[in-house]
Amino acid sequence: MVAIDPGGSKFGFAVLEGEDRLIDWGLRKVRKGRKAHGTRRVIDLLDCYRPDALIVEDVSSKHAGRSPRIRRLVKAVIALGATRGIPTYSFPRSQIRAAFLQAGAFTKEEIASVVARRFPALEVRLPPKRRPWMSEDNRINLFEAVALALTFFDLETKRRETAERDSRLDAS
Amino acid sequence: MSNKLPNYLRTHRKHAALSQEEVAFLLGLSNGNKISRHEHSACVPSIEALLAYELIFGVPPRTLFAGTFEKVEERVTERAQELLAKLAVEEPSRLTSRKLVALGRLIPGTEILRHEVP
Repeated sequence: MVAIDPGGSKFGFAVLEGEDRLIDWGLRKVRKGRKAHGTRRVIDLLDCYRPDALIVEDVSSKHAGRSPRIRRLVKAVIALGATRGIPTYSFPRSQIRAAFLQAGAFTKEEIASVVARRFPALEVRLPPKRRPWMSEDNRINLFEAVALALTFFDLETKRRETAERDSRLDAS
Repeated sequence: MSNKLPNYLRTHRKHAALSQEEVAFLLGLSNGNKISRHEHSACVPSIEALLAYELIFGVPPRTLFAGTFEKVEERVTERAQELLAKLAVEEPSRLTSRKLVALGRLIPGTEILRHEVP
């Protein structure tokens, strides 16, 4: 699967095969400008990895607090997934937080630390602790992309467990 | 249909935190262009390069090139079944018997043990 998290001038991406196998990760530049979508880079990723699932953040809510450009990029990515017949999933920020709450992580930085512990190769990419006067480091989008993917697996696990429990109840 | 990638060179390189230039140096190449081409399956690595990758990443070629290996395995297994069918006779010679044992190893679930062949 490919998970994408758009940021300011770049978007973070993560490619996973299963929840324990991180295949590729990084940041890609998004062309600036009102009409820029950044989909060219996303298309390259989809061509390279031919994923069976595409994950993005759900920014449709007015409370999502994302800029119009990021909303356009997410919308364009979802449209790309639909065009290519790739099942596309989107999760709001609240669902990502819920998935990481059990690991004691709530803020983006704390989630990034959990992700880095899970995948040590990402540790070197952890951004420095953000101070009040600092704008968000682009590198956080990389960790957010991985977090999106892990949220998907977390929800899949819960869905499977619920289905198994229901099946056992029906059997008894 | 397998979802495996043709190769996982880039994956292992990034986990090792090595750049394409650094891997190129280890392979005795002048720059990282060839590494990029290997990673994108734009060209086939030489046997020396394959063995070097195994040494660098500690992973055998069949795992590094998992997607490609699966395709090769499928084709070789098909041909082995064809050849097995051609060679299997009621009273094979000793030479044919040895061939059947070797081919049996290639086909899952049909391993022919030496003592089973007359």
